[in-house]
Amino acid sequence: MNNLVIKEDEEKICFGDYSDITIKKGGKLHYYHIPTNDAEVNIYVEEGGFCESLLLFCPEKDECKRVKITVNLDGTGAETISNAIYLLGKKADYALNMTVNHLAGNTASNQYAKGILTDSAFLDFVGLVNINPNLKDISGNQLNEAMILSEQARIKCIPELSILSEDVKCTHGASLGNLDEQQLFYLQSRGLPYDTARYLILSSFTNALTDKIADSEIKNDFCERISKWLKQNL
Amino acid sequence: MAWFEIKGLTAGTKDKAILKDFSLTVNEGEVHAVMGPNGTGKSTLAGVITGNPKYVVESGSVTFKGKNILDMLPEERSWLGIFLGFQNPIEIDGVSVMTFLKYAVNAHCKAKGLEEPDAPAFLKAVKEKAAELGIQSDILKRFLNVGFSGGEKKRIETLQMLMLQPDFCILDEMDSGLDIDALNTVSAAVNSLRSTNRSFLLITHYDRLLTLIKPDFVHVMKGGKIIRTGSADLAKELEAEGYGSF
Repeated sequence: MNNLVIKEDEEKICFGDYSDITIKKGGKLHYYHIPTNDAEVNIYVEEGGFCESLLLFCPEKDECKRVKITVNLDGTGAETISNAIYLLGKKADYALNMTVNHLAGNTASNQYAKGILTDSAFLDFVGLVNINPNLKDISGNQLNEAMILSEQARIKCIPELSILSEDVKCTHGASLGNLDEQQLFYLQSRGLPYDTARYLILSSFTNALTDKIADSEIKNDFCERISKWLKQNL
Repeated sequence: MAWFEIKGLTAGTKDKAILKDFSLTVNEGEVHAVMGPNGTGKSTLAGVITGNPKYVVESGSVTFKGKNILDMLPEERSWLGIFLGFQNPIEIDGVSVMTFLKYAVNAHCKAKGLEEPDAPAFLKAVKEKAAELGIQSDILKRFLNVGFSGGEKKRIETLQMLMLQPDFCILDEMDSGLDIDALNTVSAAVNSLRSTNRSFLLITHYDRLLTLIKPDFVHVMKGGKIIRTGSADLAKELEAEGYGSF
């Protein structure tokens, strides 16, 4: 298993498979990963550190996979943005657990997962924000947005907060939806064929997360994989 | 057969007929205005002509250039030359204005068997037309209609019309949300498109728009059908007296 350490006040962009990542005081990491096996990633963010992560799941075959990413905000002022994109089709069966542990005061977290399910795909999603006792000035936000394109596709979504302190601002939510008929109509009324309009809306659904990728090469790679998946699965 | 003709159209939502035995003829080069109180079916008319799936046609026909368009998909109606400037343009998060315009222009080129414009020529055309409409270039990079002011949305609708050069332009309350300067700019753009082979159907509540874009005919709608037709002076009469006398 690979470990990664971001030194004090260092800023890095990393792509790949790591099991333990430590971000030292004031360090910053932009971390991107496309898990190909079951994976468990533990990230430790020390005082004043920052970790932005984005996981992408877009399997080409029927797969059963379990992935867990845990971010531990260990030091005062530590912050994380923990994101995931899931594109699941055929008989893909995934479990995704995104956990943030607030272990120090004045820490902030944002978890944002969004994705598309079609065919008979299934996602078991747990988004968990734990806030330890006796902490002050904590902010935690969590959101999962899923687009379900077939009657057989399913998602089990548990957005969970465990709050043991009082000085806390937290939000959590989940939404499920289908393609917006009026968005489709708007594009079609400008001459885009139905399939093109559908592709454009679905590919744009994940743009909110891919747009923020800090490295253009990684961004292009993610966007190409998403585009390929959409073309193969829609 | 007329260039554009609606005959005996009854249509509405799944549960309710809104247009009732509605008929209208528009010839090439004409500008028609449709006025009427809220809820009388003006936007439904625009939606039915352009194929909005939320409306259901019970009976009647709509023909354009000799073709029955009710059997056509919305994109096929667009390729045939029909354009709707939306009253409330739809927001599409994640798709930039420029990307959307490129998709739309390319789709029209493909449908007509024309070569798609190369990137520099396309960008030049968009930027020139955007400048005519007073659209800042940063708006072209933003996601379509997301967070736009009412005026910005209407300018972007007008930009789409200028790029696609449709034959029959239906503008649904294009004056709503526009300040005076923006209304003058957008109206000038519409007037620049007026020609003997292009027609307009302006849906509006106010005479103000029709002083800037002078119509050939004004129709008053009530209860899902046209109850009176007149010249541009009819709009002034409505402005002075309201719909109460109809």
